[in-house]
Order: sequence, then C-alpha cells, then structure tokens
Amino acid sequence: MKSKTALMLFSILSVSLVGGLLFQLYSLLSSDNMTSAQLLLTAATVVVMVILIPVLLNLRKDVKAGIPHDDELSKKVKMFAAGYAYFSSLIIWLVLFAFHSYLQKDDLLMVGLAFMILSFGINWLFVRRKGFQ
Amino acid sequence: MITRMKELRAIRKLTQADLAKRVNVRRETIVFLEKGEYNPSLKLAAKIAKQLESRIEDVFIFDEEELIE
Repeated sequence: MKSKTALMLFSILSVSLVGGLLFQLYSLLSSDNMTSAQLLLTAATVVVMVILIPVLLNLRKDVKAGIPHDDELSKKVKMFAAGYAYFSSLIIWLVLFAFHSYLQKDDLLMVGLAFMILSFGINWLFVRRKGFQ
Repeated sequence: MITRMKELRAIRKLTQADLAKRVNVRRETIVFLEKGEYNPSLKLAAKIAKQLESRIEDVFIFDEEELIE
C-alpha cells in the first residue's frame, strides 16, 4: 500500500473512530448522572485521541519526506505480532467463555475484542523491541 | 552476524536517514540492521551493499559456526 493511500485510509478510520466515540459520549452525557460507563467512554476517547494524533502526524511527516510507511521489517513485525496475538486471543476467549455466566453476551464480545486489540498492540511492541536474529 | 554497515556508511559520509531513503526502508530498519538485531532479505542486503559500494559478504559477515549450524 502506498504511503499516501495509507495516510488517507488511516485518517478516515481515525475520524470515524473518534466521531463514533464522541457521538456515544454525547448520548451518554445527555443523561443526568455520571455513570461508570460514561467515565470509561470519556477515558477511551481521550486515550484514542492521544494515541492517534501523534501517529497521524508522524505518518504525514513520513509521506512528505518520501519515507515508506511499511517496509520489510515493519511487515515482518506485524506478521509475528499477529501470530502471537492469535494464540493469546485463543486463551483470552477460552478464559472469557469460562466466565460467560457472569457476563452478558454483549459485554463478553466487547471485552474479547478489546483484549484482541490490546494483545496485538502489546505483541507488536514486544516484537519491535526484541528484533529478529 | 556482524555487520560493517556503520563503518562503511561513515566512510561514504552517509547518515542513517540517507541510506534508508536510498534503499527505500524506514530509518528504524537501518538502526536494527546496524545493531545486528535483524537479518535482512537477500534483496535488501544487495541494495545496501550496492549503496555502500561493497559486496554483500563484506557488509554482512557470518561466523563460520553460524553457517554450519
């Protein structure tokens, strides 16, 4: 994928994600009292924005400098991280299903998906730091 | 694997960013390669060797033991 296309796709995804979170937050905040869900969503929105803004700025800088956003090493890192994340996700889903009677179906799916994303992120950082021998 | 990339790059007065741009990779990839934490593909090794005006085996040096294993 070309850097410009990646920047465009990433920008659209970021705007959609932040927009969706803000919309959810607005509908939750229109109710009277502050619940834990509102607090969680506010925190999630802030975290997502704090992570996305530097990533977008870096990507834009790379596009301007003509540096590829994806090269041999970054592709390999993603591939390995995805492999590790797959196995950790299997374990996470097994654990979640063991606790299925304590959680509602929607919550179970949300927690499972959130853990999958988190597991990919952690594995990506781990593989990137470790390098390849 | 031992790499002489840093030494050869210094001789040709190239920065990591310059070399990265010439071989079309990110600067982090050059950092990993110089630290010996990443074994490049044959294609990338050839590109780097060409930019450093050297042969692949002069840039990336393997121990005899590593090659036998």
